[in-house]
Amino acid sequence: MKKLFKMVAALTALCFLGIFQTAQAKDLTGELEIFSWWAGDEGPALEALIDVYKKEHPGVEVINATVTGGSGVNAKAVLKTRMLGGNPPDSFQVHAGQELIGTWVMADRMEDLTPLFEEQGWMSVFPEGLIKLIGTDKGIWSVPVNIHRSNVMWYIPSKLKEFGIEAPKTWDDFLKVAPMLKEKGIVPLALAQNWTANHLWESVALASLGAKKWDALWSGELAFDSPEGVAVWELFGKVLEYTNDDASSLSWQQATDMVVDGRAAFNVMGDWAAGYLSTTKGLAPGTGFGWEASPGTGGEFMFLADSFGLPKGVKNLDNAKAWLVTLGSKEGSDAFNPLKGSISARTDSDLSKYNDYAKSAAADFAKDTIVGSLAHGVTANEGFMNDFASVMEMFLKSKNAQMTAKAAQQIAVKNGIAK
Amino acid sequence: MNRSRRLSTKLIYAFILTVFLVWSLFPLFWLAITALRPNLGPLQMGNPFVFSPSLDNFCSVLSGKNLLPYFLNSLIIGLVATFLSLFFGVLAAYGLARFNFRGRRLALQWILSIRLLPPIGFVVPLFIMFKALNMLDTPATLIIVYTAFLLPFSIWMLTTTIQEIPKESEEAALLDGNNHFQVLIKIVLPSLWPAMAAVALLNIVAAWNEFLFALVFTSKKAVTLPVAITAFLGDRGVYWGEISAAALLTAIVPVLLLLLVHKQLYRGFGHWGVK
Amino acid sequence: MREVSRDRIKAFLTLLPSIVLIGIFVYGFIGNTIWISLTDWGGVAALAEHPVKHFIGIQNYVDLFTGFLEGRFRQDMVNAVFYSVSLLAGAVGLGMFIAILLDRKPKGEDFLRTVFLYPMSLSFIVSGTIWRWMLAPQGGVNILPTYAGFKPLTFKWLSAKTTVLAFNWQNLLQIGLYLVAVITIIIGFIVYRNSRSKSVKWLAIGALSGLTAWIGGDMLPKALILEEIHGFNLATLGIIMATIWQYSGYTMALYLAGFNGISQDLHDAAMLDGASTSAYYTHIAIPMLKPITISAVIILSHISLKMFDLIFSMTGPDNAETGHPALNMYLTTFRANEFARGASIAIVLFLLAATFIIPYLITQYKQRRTR
Repeated sequence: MKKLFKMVAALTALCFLGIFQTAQAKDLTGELEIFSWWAGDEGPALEALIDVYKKEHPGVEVINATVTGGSGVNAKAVLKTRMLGGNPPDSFQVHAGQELIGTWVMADRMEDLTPLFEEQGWMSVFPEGLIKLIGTDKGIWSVPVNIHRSNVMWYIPSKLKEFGIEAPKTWDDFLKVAPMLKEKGIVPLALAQNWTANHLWESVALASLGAKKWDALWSGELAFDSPEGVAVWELFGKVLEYTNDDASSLSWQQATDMVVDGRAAFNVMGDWAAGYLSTTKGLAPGTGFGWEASPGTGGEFMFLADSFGLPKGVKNLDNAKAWLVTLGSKEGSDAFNPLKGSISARTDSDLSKYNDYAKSAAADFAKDTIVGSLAHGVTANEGFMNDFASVMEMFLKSKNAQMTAKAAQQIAVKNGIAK
Repeated sequence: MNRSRRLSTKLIYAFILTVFLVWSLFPLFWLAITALRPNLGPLQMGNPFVFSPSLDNFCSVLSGKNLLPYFLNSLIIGLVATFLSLFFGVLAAYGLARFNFRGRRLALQWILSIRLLPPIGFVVPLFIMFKALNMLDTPATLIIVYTAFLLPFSIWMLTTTIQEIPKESEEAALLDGNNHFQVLIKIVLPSLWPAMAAVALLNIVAAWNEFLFALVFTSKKAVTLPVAITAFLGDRGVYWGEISAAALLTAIVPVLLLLLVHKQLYRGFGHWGVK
Repeated sequence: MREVSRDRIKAFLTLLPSIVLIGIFVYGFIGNTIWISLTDWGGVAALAEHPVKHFIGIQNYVDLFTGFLEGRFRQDMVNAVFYSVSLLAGAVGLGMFIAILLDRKPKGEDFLRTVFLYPMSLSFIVSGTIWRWMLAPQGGVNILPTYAGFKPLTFKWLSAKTTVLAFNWQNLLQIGLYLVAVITIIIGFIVYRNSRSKSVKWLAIGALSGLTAWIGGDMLPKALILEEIHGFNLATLGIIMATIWQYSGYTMALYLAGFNGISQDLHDAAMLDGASTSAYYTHIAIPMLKPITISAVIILSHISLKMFDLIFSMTGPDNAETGHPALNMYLTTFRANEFARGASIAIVLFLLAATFIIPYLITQYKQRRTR
């Protein structure tokens, strides 16, 4: 019996070796299907990446399967249908971290990419903390293509002058100026539909807890209903009083527009807003629009990353492998990120290709404390995320911090985060 | 005196009917003018009535977003499911209407009641079954599901219609040595056409518009129009011009069909409603 | 006798394909859904090749109704109830009204009734898109008054946070008893004309449950540990409006067909007797069309119970104000991967559907027998 097991293990190992060696072969042909929810503004960035791939492998026909709509819900449902139906795409986009691990790695549907990382020398190119977050003790599960920062507060410098205020450094500062803005008929903090409330929450929570306790929350060492946990919701409740009441029918761009138009003073949004403000709105980074780490989180970089994984049982394994190699390469990364408005996950990227915002973000990424984002899938699995939406609703409705914290703890236990 | 009163009632009448006419047509009008507005980004509102009309949005959804394959999927799935539900439906209806057996009435009511169960309850087991059969994302899957869910109502409506057709000529034909199948084809079907047209309309419209099963069971190859449209409800806001054009294209088929057979439909409502 | 049994075989053969399809699809799968709902299939490894399931009894149902975390489901249920009631009142009322107008055969009746009927043939996704666009906060109908020189409306059709008719879910039992009291007392008064003894029975039940609720008050068992407020969310108004728009034409068609079925003689006789038009409809035509009203009510309740597409396209998946159990079920199953919990929501919906299907079946069956 033991022998048999050993043989099987050896065979599997052989297979794996085989898989990753064939990827070396040149002149790939056939198809490659990439699954993502990148359309609209993110479309060109993906196209640029595909162009790099095509240059290297002209024989491969790339099928760009994009599923948009329903706030990413559609894409996730379609992906589930395809994976379970035995028709996985060759590679799919997923937020790095627990969103992938909690759903697909736990279900044993993904290939371990450790050999690829070793072969390409990525172990030393990607930050160690990042590799830890995209892997488990059993392997590394996806190739990160970008880094976004979640905890950023946006404003228009000229408008702030008009209002006679400065960008607040802490939430206390914010709460001091907010009533004055509100009196003038200006929304102190623009908020959009539901997920942006989660987004705001994580910035508030990070400010209230600090990086260490934030991490402790996700490792189960700090309970959500501890006094610190309750304090987060209390602060969040105070901040919420200064947001717009039509939030749930706005997209995040519309909330950003409110800041641009001067109807609102600030907006906490991920740094994809920089791309929107500079490209769509035509504002210059630094002068046209300004940014600051969200109040109370200076020196902390709450990151999220898009990544691509390799499902088990794909049709075009070699092509998919070559795709992952392109994604992780310096060339691919520097083609994609300037267009996407994100920074490269690699520590050796060519910063001259990036705009001013990205340069400052890259500098912060190198020196700040790195923590994972909740709203964008790094720290918690899909089950928790789904339940958290209900908890958030509970809070938006009842504004009861004590009860909400208790509920948050319950869902953390249920989804295997807390004990 | 009397005359002016009559006139004023008439005016009130006309007014109320006009209000309803506007209420009924305005949304479609709104859809149409939005579809004809060029370059309407996901975040713009603008003045909905002042613009220079163009067919850009239609070109964009037909060529750029390539809605055509989904259109074909919807058409094939709708037609086949409608045909099958009518075929099995006529058979079962004939059996229920013309053969005597115990529990016939109960069977009829039972069949109708099935239609009233919320379809969402079947999603999970169906999903598991089609997954096991490796049939997710094929048109056949949706055809089978739609046929099964369209059958109860088809049977019920056709049965009540057959019951109203006089039996005598069928009995004569049976005595002449025809079997039941021949009787069904030669005698029952010709007088069943109007009802079948109405049922076919309701079925094809239902299949054409169905969203939930299509959303869950398809992902790429067998995607139908309603699911394809939701792609325009993007994360960054809604692409109003394009989604309106796509929605208008989706709406054309059922609305035309309705115009085509609305007489039969009304006659059908007369039969079925009172039962 | 032999003829009959041969008939039976033939009947069986013609029915076989339908029985197989319906039998497997409906009953097989209801059974399967019930089974899934009694397990703990879900969580992190739910999507594995061979997911692990354990039998946990009715725990999922207990959680849905009393679990701390399922407040959203309870709000969805409350939404569904208000949604059904408003849809019924709106679509039946409006449809009946238009039908009466058209029954007087105004000019262009043929055209009008087609125009009123067409919304029914649209996909919910299409009508949801239209209405979402029309009800957008800064556009659509809200800016219409500006064309007439008025101020724009500011009502947030799909995102208002206001709740009216709020109640505490803790007191569910008490509220349920009051409801029972009101309904039975109304029934009592209705049957008073036909049978006095039956009426007294109904009234007694009503009075008793009303009294229990009133006296019992705080002593009645609570459904939850904590107070939890639910009510009629004004944000659902937009969705209700869209559904009424889509289905009032359908009920109109049903009534119109029914009115046409009433013989002209009856109409003339009534008029000769000096009945006014309104008396003709309220006392003669509409009571005669009770079966139509019943089928309209059943069809509309069915639609409101399965409502998914319209909400999905009008307000998106995560707008809790306008949530619905069917949407919740979809998200629970296909986003959170909680297959068992999703199945239990589905079964609750089935049971709700059964509460109006079964009485309908029984009355229909009885009626046909006595005929």
